[in-house]
Amino acid sequence: MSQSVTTKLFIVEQGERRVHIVSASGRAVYTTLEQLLLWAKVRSVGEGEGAGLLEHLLLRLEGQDSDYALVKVDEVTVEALELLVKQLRPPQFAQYLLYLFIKKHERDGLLGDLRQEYIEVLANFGHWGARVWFYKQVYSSLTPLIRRGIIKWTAVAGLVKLLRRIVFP
Amino acid sequence: MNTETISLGEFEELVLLAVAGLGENAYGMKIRQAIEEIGGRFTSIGAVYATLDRLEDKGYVSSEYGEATAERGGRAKRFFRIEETGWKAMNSAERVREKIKRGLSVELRPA
Repeated sequence: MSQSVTTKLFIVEQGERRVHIVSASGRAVYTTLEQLLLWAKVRSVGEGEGAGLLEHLLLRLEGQDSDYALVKVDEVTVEALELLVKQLRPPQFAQYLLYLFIKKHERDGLLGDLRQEYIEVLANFGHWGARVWFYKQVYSSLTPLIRRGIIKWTAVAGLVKLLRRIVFP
Repeated sequence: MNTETISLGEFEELVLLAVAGLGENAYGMKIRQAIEEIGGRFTSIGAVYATLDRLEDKGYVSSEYGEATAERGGRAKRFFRIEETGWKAMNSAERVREKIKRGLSVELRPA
């Protein structure tokens, strides 16, 4: 953990999934418990950091039943958490590029697969390694997806042409 | 269906084999990883999905969505399964390859 990190944070769990993190000064970061756990996992694998946070969260999960709890987490800044929540999200622009060329029923499967693997790569190779991997996947995915669209439209256009010849010989 | 006329491209065959090998755990990410790690060939997730889409159009595979999970950003997994025609297509491709090898007495040389 870097030396500049001094702020104490409090995590307020609201309901089952939503987590509201506030610093002593009142700044807030909104995320989900799952994202925090993922981040803590990624950090603990990557740099040996975040293990404390993970421990706190796991204690919270195993030890208490109430819907509302205040868990003190030392030595984690709001900035660090903001960065971390941001790092867990794959690059938005790259995702949008894919979004343009995939079918509606494919979105959950394909984008979910990419995100799941992105987290794995993030845990093993860090933020930049994961971003490079993600962009490589997206750019190499565009050619087959665009080709698929062209083939289908060419087939439709060919069929229309054939029908025109039959109807208007 | 006449199994001898079934067409199956090389990459389509690889994807079908991966789906067959992964069984109930056959979804996009695992299929891509299997082709890349076991097959030793770089593969993009888009290529896998475009191929699966084609195989589904041909009736060789079917798919259904599972539960959404947090690690996938709340998105569900799409599981694929080989249909009877898919198995026939794989068997047919294998048979044709064997016939040609036997018919022309082809012996593969190590590259």
